[in-house]
Amino acid sequence: MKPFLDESKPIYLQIAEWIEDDILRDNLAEGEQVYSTNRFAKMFQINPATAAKGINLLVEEGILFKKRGIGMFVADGAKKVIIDKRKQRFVQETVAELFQEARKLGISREELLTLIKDYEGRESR
Amino acid sequence: MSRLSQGIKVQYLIIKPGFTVFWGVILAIMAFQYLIIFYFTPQGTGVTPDVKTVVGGHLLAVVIFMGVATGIQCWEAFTYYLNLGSTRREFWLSCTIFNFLHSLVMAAILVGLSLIERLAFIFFGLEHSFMFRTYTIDALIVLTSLVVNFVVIATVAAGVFLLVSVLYRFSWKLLLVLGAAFLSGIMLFPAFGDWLFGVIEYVANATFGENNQETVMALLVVFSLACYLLAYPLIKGSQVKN
Amino acid sequence: MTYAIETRNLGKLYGKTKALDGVSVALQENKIYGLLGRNGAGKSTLLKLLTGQIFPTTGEIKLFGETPYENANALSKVCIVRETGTFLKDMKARDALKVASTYYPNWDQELADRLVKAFKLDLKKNYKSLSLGMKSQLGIIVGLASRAPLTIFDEPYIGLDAPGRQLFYDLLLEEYGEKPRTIILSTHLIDEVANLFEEVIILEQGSVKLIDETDKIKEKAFFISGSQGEVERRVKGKQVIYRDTLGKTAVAGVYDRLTQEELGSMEAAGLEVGPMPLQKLFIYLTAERGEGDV
Repeated sequence: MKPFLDESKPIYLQIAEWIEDDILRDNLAEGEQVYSTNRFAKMFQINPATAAKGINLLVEEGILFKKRGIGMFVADGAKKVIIDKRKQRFVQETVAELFQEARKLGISREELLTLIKDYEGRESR
Repeated sequence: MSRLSQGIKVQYLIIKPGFTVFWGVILAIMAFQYLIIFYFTPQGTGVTPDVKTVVGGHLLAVVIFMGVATGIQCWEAFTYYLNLGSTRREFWLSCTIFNFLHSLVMAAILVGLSLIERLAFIFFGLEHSFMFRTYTIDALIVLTSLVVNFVVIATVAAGVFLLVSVLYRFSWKLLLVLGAAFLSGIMLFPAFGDWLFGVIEYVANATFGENNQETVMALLVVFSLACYLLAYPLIKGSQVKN
Repeated sequence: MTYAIETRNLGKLYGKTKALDGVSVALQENKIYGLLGRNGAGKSTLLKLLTGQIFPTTGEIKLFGETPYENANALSKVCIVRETGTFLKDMKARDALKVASTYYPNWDQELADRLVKAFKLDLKKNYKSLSLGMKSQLGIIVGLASRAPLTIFDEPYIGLDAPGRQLFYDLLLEEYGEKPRTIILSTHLIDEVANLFEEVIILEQGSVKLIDETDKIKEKAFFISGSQGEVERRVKGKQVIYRDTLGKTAVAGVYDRLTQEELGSMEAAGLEVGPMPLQKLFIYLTAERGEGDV
């Protein structure tokens, strides 16, 4: 297995996220063709069917669309769909985890907010 | 290429290394024998043994090689063929045909060498030497000797092929049983041993032109065909071993 | 629908030993299958039955819809590369490739040549004088270049080092991507190849322990850890295949369907839920005999 896949979640989700990340970073523009399943299969050393599953997931979500006989392309408005989806997930997962961990450590609401502000200050420096 | 000719070619590839080594050794031995005959024994003094032909003496070596090579070949090749996706029938057929061709080639080489030997004797004016039988090159004699050599070699191959087929079908433990039965048979019934030895002697004599050569050769041909026919159902029922 | 392989109640007795018992599987065309099992689980027996090399004691086999026994047509669609029997020890590597090239109808000589170069294989050597790695390479070349509709690799990389194996996986995927076919990889190096399999078959003591899509299997395999009481309460009624405790903390390996709600509530209750790698799942599922390693 290649180092940039991890065991913590299904491979096809990681492939989907990989494509999403590429779209978010503007490596893949809207309307541009996405790499083939075989390319993905070889790159990540995975079964092509797994790569196809990841790509089909994005097709279902309207992020990619299929041109018969040619391949997969990035849909118009794909970036917005991804950002919306990720935002939702950010709240559901990352923020939720933040609060959970804070509770475990006995960090109060005020303390948590201070920590976030401090971190922001350090980041921007 | 048809699957059958592929199968025969595989047999050839399997036998090739052994074949090469065998003839290399035999030719070296022959050369050594000539060296001894011509340089280390004074000619015309009558101390040399009655050597009729150097080449002819190697029929036994060829027969032994044929037995061993056919045995190993068929034993190993079965798994190999089935792994390649061959059917058992194809394996049997390719063994049968290849053994035929292989025996023919062996006999032809042997006869060819003795032909060269005789021509050389004639060329060097040795044909009247006491050491060598002084027959001239006669087409019928050459042909007869080719047929006889071929039949003897092919019979050995056929017998060994049947033996291997039996062993493959019923596991090698049968070899022990057969061997034990054979030995005790000879020990318990000396007449059996005498008879067996007599048969071998008779065939050997026939090979070198005595007794009823035609009848013996015909019987050997029948025996060989029977071996292949008997081997067929055995091979059809054989499995690859672990 | 015709399957590449279909078996029904397949069984094989060696004397009194049940090498295989009641195996009914259907393998679809153009998928990569992983055949997993401990030594003696019946992998080789199954593969030899599929290729007509041995006879079943019970049940039947269909190879592309046909019975393999003495069936030249069905058998010509299969290439099996095994550790033993695939090559003759005294044959030169070059001749072994020549033989293979005449036996497999779809043989791709160009690919074979390319692979020989990629592996830097010395074709002049006899098989027996090749190194362990080179022997594996020769098998891989035959398997890949055969382009057989059903290609079986029985422990194909026994002698390959890690980079050699990576090269094999790459080549396999490249070939498969270009020309899909049914591939069976029998192996115990599961972690390395788990992602190559579309489906996995786990054999245990001659029977099929598990056959499913790799993704589906992974979606059902979890480690759950946390306080012992909590873990025990949550895994109740589930198939637990592994248990361990460290002080008051317990770890449970579960192979079962867990709903999103169940997962959510576990996390909310402070339990850690993580995926179980296929290799671990395999070990736990087949470790009931208790002895030996994988």
